[in-house]
Amino acid sequence: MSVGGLRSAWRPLQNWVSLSRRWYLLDARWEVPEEIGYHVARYLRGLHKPIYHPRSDCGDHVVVINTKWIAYPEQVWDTRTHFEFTGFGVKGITTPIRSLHREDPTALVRKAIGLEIGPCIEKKMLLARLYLHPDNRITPEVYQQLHGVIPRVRPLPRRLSEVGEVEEVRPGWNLDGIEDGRARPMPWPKDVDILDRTHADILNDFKTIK
Amino acid sequence: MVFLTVARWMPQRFKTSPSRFFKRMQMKRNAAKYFGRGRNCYVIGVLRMLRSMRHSTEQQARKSEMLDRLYETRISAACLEHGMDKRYFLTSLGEFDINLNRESLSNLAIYEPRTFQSLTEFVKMRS
Repeated sequence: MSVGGLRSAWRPLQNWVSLSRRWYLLDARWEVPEEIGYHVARYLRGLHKPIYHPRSDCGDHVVVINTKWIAYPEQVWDTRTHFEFTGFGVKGITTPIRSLHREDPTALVRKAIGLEIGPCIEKKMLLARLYLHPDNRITPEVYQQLHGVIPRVRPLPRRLSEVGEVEEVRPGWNLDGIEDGRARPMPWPKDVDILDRTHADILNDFKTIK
Repeated sequence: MVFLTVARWMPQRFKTSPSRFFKRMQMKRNAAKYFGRGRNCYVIGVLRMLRSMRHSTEQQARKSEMLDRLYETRISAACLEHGMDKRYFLTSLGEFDINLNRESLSNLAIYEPRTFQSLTEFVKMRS
């Protein structure tokens, strides 16, 4: 890029793409919201960029899909509660997380990411740059804007059919009807489509960020 | 020699007590955005002006620490782009006697990314 050494640090940046605002995709299937919230908040804030400054608006957009399929330990779904003020007096309503998730499958992820962002003036702006989808359907406009994929925190567990040909197969195990037996990513539900493409195809399209 | 012609044209209040006028001018310049009487009245505003000056001198010692923390966030972001831990990177550079401070490392990460990449690869090779 430049040969002048440290003296060239005072010349303006020549790579304008590094100053642009980008769109990232994250798959929240079987992820814990608090764990992905840490990474999503970093991307929204711009902490993943060497040009970060708290007063400069250097964050990115993040699209989270499959928020319906987030994971918590079983006890948490029934015991952890969501508190809401009614507007009358001091009392409020406490609902378990399970019913909140049933009403709004994106609420838990939004709460977790909001907690990770913390109290700051830009919080509303950062949450406005967060797009949550309960399943893997996204609008074509968002799909065109996507620049990259945020790596998963917990690796997707692989199915037996994905491992490939196995020598001994226990009777009664379902190999998902795959005929040729070669390793494949986990098959996604068939009743969803994004422009006639599956989520695995989208993830394969995006290269890692350098 | 002393030039007296310009001084003759100045208003009388400058000449009777110049220090009074210029002190008040200094206070109003510094406290222009304060709330209430501290903006307009000298006796009240001068205390606030002096407090702000005291705060800024006290924070001078912390300025380098705050900038170092900003540089460290930038270096950690750049290290993660190349798959390296920031703390490991900085301690390894110290071990190999590469005495670049955080300011220069963050400037390299922004304006000379390939140089920074070569530093990370150097640490990976030597470790």
